[in-house]
Parts: sequence; structure tokens; C-alpha cells
Amino acid sequence: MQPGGVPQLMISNTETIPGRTITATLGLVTGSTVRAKNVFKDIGAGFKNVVGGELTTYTNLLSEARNEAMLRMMQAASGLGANAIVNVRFATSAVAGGAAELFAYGTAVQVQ
Amino acid sequence: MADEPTLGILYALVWTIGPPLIFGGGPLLFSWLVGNAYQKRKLNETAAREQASMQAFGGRDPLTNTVNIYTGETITHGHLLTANVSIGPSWWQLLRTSLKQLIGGRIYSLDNVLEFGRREALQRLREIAQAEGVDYVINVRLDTAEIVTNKGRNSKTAAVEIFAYGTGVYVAKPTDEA
Repeated sequence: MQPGGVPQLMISNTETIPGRTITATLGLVTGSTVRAKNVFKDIGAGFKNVVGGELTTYTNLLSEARNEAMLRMMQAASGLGANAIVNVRFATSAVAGGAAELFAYGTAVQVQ
Repeated sequence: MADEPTLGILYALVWTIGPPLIFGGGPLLFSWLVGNAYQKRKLNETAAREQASMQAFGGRDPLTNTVNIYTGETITHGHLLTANVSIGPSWWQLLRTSLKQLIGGRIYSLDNVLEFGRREALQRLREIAQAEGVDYVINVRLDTAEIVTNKGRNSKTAAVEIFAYGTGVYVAKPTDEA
């Protein structure tokens, strides 16, 4: 992680930042992370699978991982000197059994 | 003692029904009885929360799939909001699915699971929107990812993650312009 913690950026998944004007486009920024489930959580989720419904351990795991992917994307954007990221999209892929890659991408821009 | 024959019959019953129940269909029976009731209760809870959120937003749904809001209001600012939920079907539903795959056709039991997941993810997005105090969530997108792959046959686990995201926006209040 970069010193300075979380960069302060405006993020949206629309073409523009609502209420702002884009002055410069700095290019595509991406952030990704690969996470594996741990065996104990897997067993717990396996028990929960008997009755079905929400698997809270996976919900939390994936939300943490997605936040990390977004943080990396934000660091890449602040490295380019951007103050906003527009048109953010997310993708998830299973790279290996029991591991998932969470990927976030968007366009780094400068807004007024 | 008169009790002894009845006790003997009881033991015989326990030993003939018990082991097959525990090692055979017991968990499946549990899954059928408890799982269905549990999932129905959760779906009803989500439906009630949906109603509560809609009332909090003045009787309308704050989520929209479009980039613009066609209400004549002006968007002042906004930011990204995300919500996710991981769900899995019960053993009973997986069994029904694997049986249904022999003849093909609609698998009704999984409809409910995915319906719950989508509604729950969207409802969480509404609640986050409510907590942030935004007026609308525009450009809402839903993603589904298979996180635990069911290998079919005797595989008893399966899970999907449903991820909902959108841009929460604030609109100019009529008092701001006056």
C-alpha cells in the first residue's frame, strides 16, 4: 500500500461524474486481487448449504476482496494524477478451484 | 414387567429407523423441512424491508437502470455505491435439480434461490442508499459470479455471488434554487 492511505477520489459507474465536467482523460486504470477461501470457512459454508440461503462468510470475503481491488485501482489513478474515475466496471473470474479473481476497471479522469 | 416388550419394540424401531435416517436421508429430510421454511422466511423478510425502504424514499424505488433521471430534477453530485450477497441452494434443492436434469426442463426450486439473491442484493443497495442519504441510485448493474462450482452428481455445495452497484446521486432541492 502507498503511504498516505486511501486516495480521495470521486468514483462513479456512469460516463461522467454527476455535476462535474471532465477536463482531461488520463487512460484506463485497473485493480485486481486474487483471493482463496479458507478451509474452515468452506466447512462452515458447507454446513450452511444444508438449508441454503445466504453464506455470510463468502459475502464478507468477497466484499473485502472487492474493496482491495478498488483500492488498487484508486492508487493507480492517483498515480496518474487523476481526481476521479468514471465508468467503473467489475468482473469476477475463477482462476483456480477455490480461488477467485476480483477485478475493477475504469477510466481515470480529471474533473473541475 | 409389562414394560419390557414395549421397550424391546422401541429399541428395535430406533435401531432399524435410526441409522438409515442419520446416515441416509436424515440430513436431506432436515434440509427439506427446515431449508424450505428458512428460505421462505428470509424472502418474506426481504419483501418487508423492500416495502419499508420504498416508503422511506417517498413511495418510489430509488434504483434505476438508466443514466439519467427523467423527473426534471437536477443532479448535483454523487458517488459509487456497492452491495453484495452470496447465496447457495439447499441440499434438497440440489437433489431436486440433479433429478430434474435427467429429463430436463424448468428447475423451479432454483428460481426461488436466485430470486432471493437478486432481491436481497438490490435491497441492500437501497439500504446503503438510505444510509448515505442519496436521492437516487442511477445506472444500477447486477453481476452474478459462480464462486463454488457444483460438480454435479453427489456434489453438495454450490454458491453464487450477486453483486449490485450503481452511482448514488443527490438532486437539487427546490429550496436550493429559490
